[in-house]
Amino acid sequence: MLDQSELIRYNRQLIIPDFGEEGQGKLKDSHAVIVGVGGLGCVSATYLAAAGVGHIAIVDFDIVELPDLNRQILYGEEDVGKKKVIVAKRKLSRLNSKVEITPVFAKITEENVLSLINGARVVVDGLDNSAARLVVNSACVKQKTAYIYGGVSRLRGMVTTIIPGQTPCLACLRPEGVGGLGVLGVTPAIIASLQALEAIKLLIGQSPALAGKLLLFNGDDMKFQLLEIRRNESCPVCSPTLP
Amino acid sequence: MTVPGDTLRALLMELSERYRQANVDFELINPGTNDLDFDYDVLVNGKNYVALAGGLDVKLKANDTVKVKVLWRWDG
Repeated sequence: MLDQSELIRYNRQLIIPDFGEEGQGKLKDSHAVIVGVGGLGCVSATYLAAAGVGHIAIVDFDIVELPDLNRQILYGEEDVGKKKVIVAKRKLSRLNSKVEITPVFAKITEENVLSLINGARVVVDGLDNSAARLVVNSACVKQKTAYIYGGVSRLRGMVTTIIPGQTPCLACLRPEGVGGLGVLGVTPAIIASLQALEAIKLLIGQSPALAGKLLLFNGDDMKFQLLEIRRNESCPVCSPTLP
Repeated sequence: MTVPGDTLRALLMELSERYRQANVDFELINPGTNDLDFDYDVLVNGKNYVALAGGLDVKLKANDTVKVKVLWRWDG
């Protein structure tokens, strides 16, 4: 149940058809994990906290550095040298004190990933490399937890929502590409906002629009493109024929 | 498919045109750079086009295999 202050606080989303108090209650009872609080994670964490997701765990092993500040909007100059998760928790709690924020200062590995995502209804991607993403993808498939991939470079980005057992997983698509190409701060803000929207829809029981679809954003030409993606029946991670 | 011209560039431009006619945005050659767009990579017979003499202007032969890949974004 929502209390009076919550009814006021979330009024603008409570009046949205198909959201209402029931949807808000579901958000309040939800647990989301955001892996990586960099350019993507700062934005998705902000919107999930603002929307009232009851419990958000944020996982990162980095400290804030000056080159992060063009896109990692939870941090300021005074935070350089501090642990991202600690600063992010403080800022997010200031935004919404009713949300439980759990900071986890850890690098994601095959050994710890299952415990890091344990209990989550959704894992939101804020990582910055393919290896860690594939580790998270495998764990989400194993735990049957939804995983919302997002990635950016320069003025381009992409998003897909992975529902284990229903949609392709990241490994199905044998993704290739290189990182470290530079990022304009607005790009992860756009992509992470879409990830947050997908997460919220999923948490309130609506169908995520990007399940089985890969959304490509091209900020050079301001184009969005939606590609259908298919499961790989011989995927080494999610194939139904795996033992 | 039959394309006007015999180069990789001609093939990719024709592919884009056919998708455009079907209202699908698949612009492989970036008009700004006149090179392959940053969202894609292209292999000819398993070899990256940049490694071929002529690059996008390499001449294709019968039975050559061209593979277009969407590149993923990994930064955050």
